[in-house]
Amino acid sequence: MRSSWLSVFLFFASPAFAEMPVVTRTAGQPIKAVWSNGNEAELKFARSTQIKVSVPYQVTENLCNLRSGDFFKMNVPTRVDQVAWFWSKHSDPTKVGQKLGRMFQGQPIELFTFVLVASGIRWTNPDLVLGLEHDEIEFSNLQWLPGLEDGTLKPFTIREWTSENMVPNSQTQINENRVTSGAYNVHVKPLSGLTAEVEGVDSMFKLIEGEQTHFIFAGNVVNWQWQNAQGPCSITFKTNLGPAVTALIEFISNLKDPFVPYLAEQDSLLKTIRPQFVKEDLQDAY
Amino acid sequence: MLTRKILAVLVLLTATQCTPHHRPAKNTEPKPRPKPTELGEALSPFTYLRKMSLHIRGLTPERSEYDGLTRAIEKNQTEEFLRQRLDQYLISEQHIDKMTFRLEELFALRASHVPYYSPLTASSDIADFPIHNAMNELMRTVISRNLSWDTLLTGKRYTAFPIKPSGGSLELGDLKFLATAAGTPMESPNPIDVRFSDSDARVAGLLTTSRFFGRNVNTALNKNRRRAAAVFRTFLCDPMSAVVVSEKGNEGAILDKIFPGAGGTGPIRQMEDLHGAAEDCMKCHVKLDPMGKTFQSSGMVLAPLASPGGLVFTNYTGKKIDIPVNGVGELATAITQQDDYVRCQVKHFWSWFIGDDKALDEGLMGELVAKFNEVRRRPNDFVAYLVSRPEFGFSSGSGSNGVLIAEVKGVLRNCTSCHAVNGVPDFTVWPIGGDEATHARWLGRIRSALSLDGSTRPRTMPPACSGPGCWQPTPAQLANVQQWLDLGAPNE
Repeated sequence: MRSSWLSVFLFFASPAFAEMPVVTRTAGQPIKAVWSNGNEAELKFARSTQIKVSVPYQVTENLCNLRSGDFFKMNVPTRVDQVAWFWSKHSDPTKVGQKLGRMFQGQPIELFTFVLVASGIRWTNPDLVLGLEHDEIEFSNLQWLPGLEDGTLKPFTIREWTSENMVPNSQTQINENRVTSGAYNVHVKPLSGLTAEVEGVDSMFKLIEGEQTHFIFAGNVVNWQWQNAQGPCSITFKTNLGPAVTALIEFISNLKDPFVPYLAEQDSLLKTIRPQFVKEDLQDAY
Repeated sequence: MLTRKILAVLVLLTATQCTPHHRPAKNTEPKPRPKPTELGEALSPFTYLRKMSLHIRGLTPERSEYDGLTRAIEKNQTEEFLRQRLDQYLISEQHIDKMTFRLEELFALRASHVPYYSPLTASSDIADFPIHNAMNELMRTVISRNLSWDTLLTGKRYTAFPIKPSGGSLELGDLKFLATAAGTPMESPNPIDVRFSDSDARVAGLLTTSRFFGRNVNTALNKNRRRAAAVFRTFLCDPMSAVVVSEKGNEGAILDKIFPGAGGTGPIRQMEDLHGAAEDCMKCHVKLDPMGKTFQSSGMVLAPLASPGGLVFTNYTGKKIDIPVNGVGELATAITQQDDYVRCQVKHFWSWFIGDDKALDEGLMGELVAKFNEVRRRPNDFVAYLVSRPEFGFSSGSGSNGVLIAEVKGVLRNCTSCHAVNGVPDFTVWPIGGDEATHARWLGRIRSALSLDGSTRPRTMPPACSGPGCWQPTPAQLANVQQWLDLGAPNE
C-alpha cells in the first residue's frame, strides 16, 4: 500500500507531469515566466558587436566563358545575439541570476540559444540587421564574369545563387549533397576597386530553419546561374569554410556581452528561434 | 423412440454410402463449366469479386458483399451487381490510397501514411508532409476526380500545405517551394490553392513539386540529370540502366570509365570533356542533358523564370525525337504527346491490374493504347476496362500456383458433390462459405479431416469405400492439397 502511494507521488512529481509556468508577453515589458510556487524567470538577451569572417570561393567550372582558376573572397559580417532564461525569483536564493536548465535526451542543458545574425535573415528580418554591414565580395579579377570581361566593375545581377551542403535526403535518409539555400536575382553593387557588396535579393530560400543556419551564400559548393547572350549558363565554386567556422567558434566562445531583459516585441529576434523556447521548454526547467 | 432409431439408421446409411456421383448436390445443379481457354478457366463470380476488390481497393470484400452476390446470382443479375461493385470501388478512398501508393512506388518515394485524413492546418497533429503535400494531393485529385492521366504532368493547380515543424526532418514545404514563382506567401496557417495559367511554361504537375525536388535533389555537378532520369523512367519507361557498373574496391577503374583517359585526375571540366566524348556515356547524356536544362534555374525551389531545354530520345520505332521546349511545363506537354508515353502508362496499368506475368504483345498493346485514348486517358475508366478483360477474369494457370490450384480444385470437387447435400458450402468456390473467416474455418476442417495437420491419426474423409463409384484421393493428390494449404491456400 505504501509503495503504491509512493508510485503515485513519484508520477505526479516526475518531469513528465512538471508544471508549465504562465508566460507573460506584454509589448514593451520584460518577458517573464511565473510558476505557481512563486518562482519566476526572465528572458534576457546579449547582443554582440559585428565580426567579419572571410570565405574564399574558387571557380571549379565556368560554363559562361569557359575560364577556370579564378576566385574571389566573400567577407560576411555577422553578429551574435544570445538569448537565455534567468531565474529572477526562486525559493533557492543561490539560483537567482542563474540560467535555467532542463534535461534534453538525458543530458542537462541550459535554456540558452544564440542567433547568428547574417545574410540569411537580412531580407526576412531587416530590423535585426540594423547597423550590420552588407556582405562584401573581393574579386581578384573580373574577366571571368559575363558582362565584365573588360575588367571594369559595374553593378550586376546573379540570376540564381545556390549553396550546397551534405544533408540527409528526407525521402531516402541517405546523406547527399544538395542545394540547401539560395536567392534569386542577387544584386551586386560596386564599392571601390575590385570590391563590391551584395545590395539585395529579390527572394531567398533555405531548407533548414534554425538559429544557426543564416549563411545563405556560403555552402560547400556554390553555383551561380547567369543569363548571357547564348542563354542560361552557370559558374560553380568550391569554398573553404574552415577558417570562417574557426573564427566564429572562437568569437562565440569569448562573448562577454552583458545580458539585459528582452522586451516583448522589441524586434523580430524571437521569430528566428524555435517557438518552444519561450513556452514548452520551460515545463521541466529547473 | 422407434421413429428416431429408424431415422438414425437412415442417416447412417446415407453417410456411409455417400460417394461422388452417387447423388447430385442439393440446391446446386451442376453448371456447365466454361471451356478452358488459353487464359485458363473463368473465375467464379465470388473469386472475380474478391480479385477486383483486392486489385482496386487492396482489401477483400465484406461478408455483406458476398451475400449480395449470392442473391444477385439467384436473380440472374450477376453482371449488374459486379458492375455496381466496380463503380463503388473506383470512388472509394481505398482505391485512391492504393493508386497513390502505386505512384509513390513509381517515383521511388517513401510510402505516405495511411489512412489519409482531410487536410488540416499546421497546428494539427495530423498535418504531416508525407501525406499533406502538393504532389500527393495532385495524385489523389487525378484519381478521385478521374481526370486525364496527363494531368499528373501538365497540371497547373496545387494545394500548398503549411508544413508541420518536425525535428530533424529536412523537407521544404510547398508553400516555400512555390512562393517565388507564384508570388504567394511563404508562411500560412492554412493550405493555399495555387493556380498557374494553363500555358505557364515553368509548371509541370508532379515534376514541379517540393516532394519531387526533395526526392531528386540537384547539385551544380549533376545539372538536373537525376530529375531528368526520373522523368524518363516514370513517364517514358526508359530504365536508364547504368552504363558504368560499380566495382567494389576498384575505384580507379570506375573513375577511368567515368572520365576515360584522365586517370581520374585533373580539372573537372577536362574530365567532363573526356566523359562527354565517350559513346557509352553519351547514350544517356544525349537524353538527360537537354531535359535537365529545363530545370536549370530551379535549384531547390520553383524558379521565377522558365529555362529552355529539350525532349530528346529515340522512340520505340527507332525514330529520333528532338523537340526544343521553353521550360519544364512545355516539356511535360511534349511528353504527353509521345507514343512512348502512352505505351508506358498503359504498361503501368497493365502491371498493376493484370500482372507482369501476362504477356503484352504489340497487337494487344495497340488495342490497349487505343482504349486508353478512347477513354481520354481517364484512369478509372481505363481500370474498369482492364478488369472487364479476359486476362483479368480468367485464371491463367500459367503462374507457379496455377497448376497446383487446378489440381486442388479437382480434388475438392469430389468433396462438394457429396457434402452439398447437408448444406456444406462448395469447396471449389473461394472463399469457402463466402467470407474469409468461414473460409479459414473450413480450411482447418479440411486439413484435419484429411489428416494433413501433422497428426498420426488416420484421415476421416472421404469415408472408406469400395466398389464402383468409390473415390479415394491418391497420395499425390493429398500432397497437393497439403502444399496448397501450407502455401496459405492461394487463390489465383
